[in-house]
Amino acid sequence: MLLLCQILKLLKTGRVWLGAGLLFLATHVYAVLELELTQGVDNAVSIAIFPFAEPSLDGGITAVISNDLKNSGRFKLVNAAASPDLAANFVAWRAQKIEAVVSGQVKQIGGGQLVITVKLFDVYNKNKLFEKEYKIKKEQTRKLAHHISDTIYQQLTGDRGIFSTRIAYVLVERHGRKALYKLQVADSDGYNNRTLLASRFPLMSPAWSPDGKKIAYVSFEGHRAAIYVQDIASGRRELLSKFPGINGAPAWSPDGRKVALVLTLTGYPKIHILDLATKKLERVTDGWSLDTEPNWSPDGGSLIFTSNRGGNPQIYRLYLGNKKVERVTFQGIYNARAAFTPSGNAIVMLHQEGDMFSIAHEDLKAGRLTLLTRAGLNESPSIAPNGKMIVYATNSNSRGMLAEVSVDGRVKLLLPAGEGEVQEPAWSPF
Amino acid sequence: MKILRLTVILLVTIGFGFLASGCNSFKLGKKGGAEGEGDTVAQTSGLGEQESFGDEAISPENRLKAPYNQSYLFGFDRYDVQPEDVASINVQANHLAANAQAKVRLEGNTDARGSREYNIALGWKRAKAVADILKQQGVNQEQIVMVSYGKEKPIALGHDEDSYGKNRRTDLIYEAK
Repeated sequence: MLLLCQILKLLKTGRVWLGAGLLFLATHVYAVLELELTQGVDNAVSIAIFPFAEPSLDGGITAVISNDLKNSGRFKLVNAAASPDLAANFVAWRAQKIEAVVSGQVKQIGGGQLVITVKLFDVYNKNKLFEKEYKIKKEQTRKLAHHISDTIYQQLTGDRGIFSTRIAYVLVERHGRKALYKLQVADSDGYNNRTLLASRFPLMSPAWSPDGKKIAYVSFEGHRAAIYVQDIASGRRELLSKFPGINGAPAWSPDGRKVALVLTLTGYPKIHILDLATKKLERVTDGWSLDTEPNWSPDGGSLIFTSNRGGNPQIYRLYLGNKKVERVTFQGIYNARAAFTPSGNAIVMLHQEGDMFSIAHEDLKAGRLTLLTRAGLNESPSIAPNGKMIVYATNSNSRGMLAEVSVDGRVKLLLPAGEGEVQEPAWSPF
Repeated sequence: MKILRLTVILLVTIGFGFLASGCNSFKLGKKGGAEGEGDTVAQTSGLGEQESFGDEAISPENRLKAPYNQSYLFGFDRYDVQPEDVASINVQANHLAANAQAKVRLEGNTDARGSREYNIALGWKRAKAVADILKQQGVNQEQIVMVSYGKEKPIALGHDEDSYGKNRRTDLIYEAK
């Protein structure tokens, strides 16, 4: 009887609300993030995109493709006219210095289905680069538009497009002293944001698995740090690590079989590697320094991480084969949160100079460091899978929002959030 | 059989009666009234201890009292406890050492500058600084839980020196008194 009383008391105090504070998979139709191109490249490809149909009938496909290409900063959208005579068109377009033309068509075929055709023309060489036809359900229009943008982008730049990728991030909604934290995933253009988890406790460090099917993250539910891995499709999650102290900075190995993470089992934050199949845990750094923010090289052979073993936080590289550790950054008093570019030849990180925290790029062979941002309080850079763009968090007018910059520093985009503070973006794999 | 059934029903009914009247009237010693006075004695019921969410406002006047939640501030780039906080930490340590069931959660925090996970590591240093003093004063490791929130739980949201100063702190929260 006394035991039953105790249980009732516990329930009343709300300590056993395991699922109550957590919501899964709420869908919105408006964009939380909206891209705003603030700077493009000088040698952008001049391209004209003809409407696929009357605006009310094209399912938005023309607008999505146009925005995708425009926001990549590598295309300049121009207006053009077209006549039924293709040869005459090429002459006219060339006179306008247009380099590429996209034309397409949307046909409703009933049953909620559409047939969409698209053609891409190379104006200077007067030829058709490709022509494709797709049959889709109406609801897939946006997804197809992004796919078409990828195809055009790759054909004209030689690089793989990221228009079908996604960005995960943490959204914080503050109400006085209380806050609600949400882990969300949106399309890379900011649309279709969905909540994977909502919590009264802080959420941090979302990290995509290499196959894009799961996200690892740090959660402080119940006033304890823990790392979870959540399956995106089902919303089911697994507890990965909940040792006493820090459980932080999860980073997947390129083959998806291991996760590097930070634990304080020795009393100090150290890097560990957890084998997901065997659950074997191996500590790979030692000493009394603060070691954190591990990230794997694309070949899986080393980890870069942040450490203050030399006094201030700098980036170090641990070779997993021989366990040798070498320092990587020598410029500036503070370098942190580094990640390899897909080529493995460079890293992108957070760099401090004076009062400014900037996103910086360092070529590993030459050791040359370049600042990619020049103003504001910036943090948490994440590199797109094609290695061309970086999304990061910035603070503008005391609002936390996301911004993007190209890896060569030339393209700049701002993604102001409609509500709340947006932080810790993580770009999905392809 | 019938008697057994009736007994069970009676017991269950009494049980529900106790539950309905609140568990606290069941506690021994909480029944009021003098013994032997029978039905004329008024029955008191204790309301039980007040629930707490663990986040009661930390008041400066309770600094040297235990068990009261505390907040200890740290200087810029400093991870050592300020001398003026040692007395307060000792008072909490004495309470913990004398009460084996008491438990504190130490939450380390940083200001808003810098990388988030690196700030978790820095916040850890601030929690550990207070934990080390508690342990020196004889508190058991099992009575101390350490969490670092880095810059994730600011109490001041500005990006100025004043806000930064307020956020560089270790909060000592009683999970059990």
